[in-house]
Amino acid sequence: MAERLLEIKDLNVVYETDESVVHAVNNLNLVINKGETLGLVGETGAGKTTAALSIMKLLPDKTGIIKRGEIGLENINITIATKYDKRLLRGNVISMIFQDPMTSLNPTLTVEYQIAEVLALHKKDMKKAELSKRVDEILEMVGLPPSRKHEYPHQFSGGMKQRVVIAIALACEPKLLLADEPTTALDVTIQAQILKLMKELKEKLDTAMLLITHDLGVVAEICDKVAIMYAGQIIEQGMIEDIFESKYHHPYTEGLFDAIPDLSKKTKRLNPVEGLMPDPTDLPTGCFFHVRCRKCMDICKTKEPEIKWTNADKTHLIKCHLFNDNK
Amino acid sequence: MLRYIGQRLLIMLPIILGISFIVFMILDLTPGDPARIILGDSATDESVRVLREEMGLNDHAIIRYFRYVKNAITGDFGKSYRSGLPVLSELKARMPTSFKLATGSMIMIIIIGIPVGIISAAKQYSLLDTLSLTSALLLTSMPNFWLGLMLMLFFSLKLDLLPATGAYTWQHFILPSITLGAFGLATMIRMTRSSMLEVIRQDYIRTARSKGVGEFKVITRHALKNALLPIITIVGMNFALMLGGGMIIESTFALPGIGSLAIQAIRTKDTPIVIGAIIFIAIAISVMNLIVDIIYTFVDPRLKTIITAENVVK
Ligand SMILES: Nc1ncnc2c1ncn2[C@@H]1O[C@H](COP(=O)(O)OP(=O)(O)OP(=O)(O)O)[C@@H](O)[C@H]1O
Ligand code: SF4
Ligand SMILES: [Mg+2]
Repeated sequence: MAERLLEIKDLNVVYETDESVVHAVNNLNLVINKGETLGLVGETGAGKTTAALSIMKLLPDKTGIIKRGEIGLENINITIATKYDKRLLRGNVISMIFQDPMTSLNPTLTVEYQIAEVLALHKKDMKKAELSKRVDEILEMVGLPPSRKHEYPHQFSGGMKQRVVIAIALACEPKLLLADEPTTALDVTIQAQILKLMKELKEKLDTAMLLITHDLGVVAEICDKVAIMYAGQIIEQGMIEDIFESKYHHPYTEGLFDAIPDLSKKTKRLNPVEGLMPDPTDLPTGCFFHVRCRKCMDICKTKEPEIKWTNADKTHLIKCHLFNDNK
Repeated sequence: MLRYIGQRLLIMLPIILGISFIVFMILDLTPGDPARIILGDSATDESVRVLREEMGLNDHAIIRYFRYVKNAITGDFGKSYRSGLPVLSELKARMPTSFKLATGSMIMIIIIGIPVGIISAAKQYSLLDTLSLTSALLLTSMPNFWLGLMLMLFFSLKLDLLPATGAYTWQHFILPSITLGAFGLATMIRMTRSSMLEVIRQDYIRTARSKGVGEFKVITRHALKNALLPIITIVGMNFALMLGGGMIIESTFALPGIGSLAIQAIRTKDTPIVIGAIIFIAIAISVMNLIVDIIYTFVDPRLKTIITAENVVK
């Protein structure tokens, strides 16, 4: 049995502004085992980034609030981590890669500084010469010539910048990498290169990864497990085979797949199912998907569906009344 | 880089020429006969006529302007109508005072304005933030001369801590520097704050936090340098303006600087001094702009690339 690395239990996150309360994440449950890659898929506004920021404890000050739930890292609840503890975790045990490499790097600091900084923070016993050598190694690892380390981010192309971002994220060989749409801002050809690099590195370093994406093609290529997120909840989750081969699916997932005629083709932003995501400031009753669901029943409008396992191994779960035993 | 500086200095010439032309013409239109001013009211019409002839005042204004420029190139900016001394030496004598005053104000603006602005941004909406914004507002709404008089009343007359007038020791510059810098200080606090707030929202600050960098270092190492460009602009512009612009304050504190010289010259229709002072201010502002742009390239590596690339092409 694989060892549990990250376990999110009943996570509820809201953004409280003067005008409204946005329910971005609602009772989210997720497990990632050591070394495993979980794909988190969902439409824009589903709460994917919010979930990742909650793990990093990087939710916007004052507005972004974890209302309820637990985030366990190796069985330690990190939702209650102190300011100092969370700094020890960040960049060291958990790293995050953000969506846009163009803006993720500091324009006034050299690439070397930005990589060495994270090492110096977490590997306190490293001497200066060692740091410099390690930076060279890391740059080589992500496919960049170490000779360019004294340059500034604006002297690199988009793909190279994302390689630098990956270098920073993996410098301390974290146990968990959160990658928030790491390739959407890049050209298609470069996307493939970056994904390949990430896959290789995570295997080499035995890092677990939460890969946030809109692209089911990417998921099929590099993930072990998939979670489909809708309105801040996981509505279906399973091993890659469960999602791509099983005949049981949540109606929303079916919609996602119908939108892709051929799996080998990459898709852009997903907006496959007719209608819009429910307003996160005013969520519907019952099943959050019922307004858009073609199979909607009476019960769906009033009662929230429970999570059901579709197989005996309990690897594939669906949150939908269609799969209730008494149906 | 040197080439860039050379180009910039070249561009300065037409600007200074233009300014001097406009000022020359405007002053020429104002009533008052320079020969009469020099000789005084008691002089005979005949002696005034002779002097006019001597000074070439009967020539057309354009011709006189070109003569002025020709002399100016050799360093001769004319003589003061009042003292008879060369304008350049009058200005030179006043420069150290103005320079000390502007430097004093600048130091105050930098060492108070920047940290207060940073703290204000880092603790947005906190009590400290409100406090610093309120003080900035107060500083801008206070008239300069009034602030100067109040400081004088309190620190010189009441507490007898600092001298009120004159320019003899560095203590003499404290009160005028504070007065002169008050407005700039308010601008600096607000500018630093808004510039920092803008930078703090950027993605790369989130990246820094996601690396485990502590909040203090996030502000000082990651945010500040990026927020510095508008701050440097303010410093440069304020310094240039204060070099020549301390007219009221220099008069209030009886400091013999360029500003008080200019005011006095305007009052007494001492045209050569007025033009000289204005050209001096124009040069100061242009040079300051250049210095600011050069400092930019050290702060922002992107600009450095642009400037060096430009040189390669040309
Ligand atoms: N700082 C914020 N203040 C208020 N609401 C926010 C904030 N950030 C996100 N939200 C809201 O929270 C919800 C979830 O946003 P989130 O960014 O997590 O979505 P996402 O799934 O990452 O979407 P995308 O695919 O577009 O990145 C959205 O409705 C969004 O409008
Ligand atoms: S619970 Fe009902 S509304 Fe929701 S997805 Fe299932 S069938 Fe559709
Ligand atoms: Mg997102």
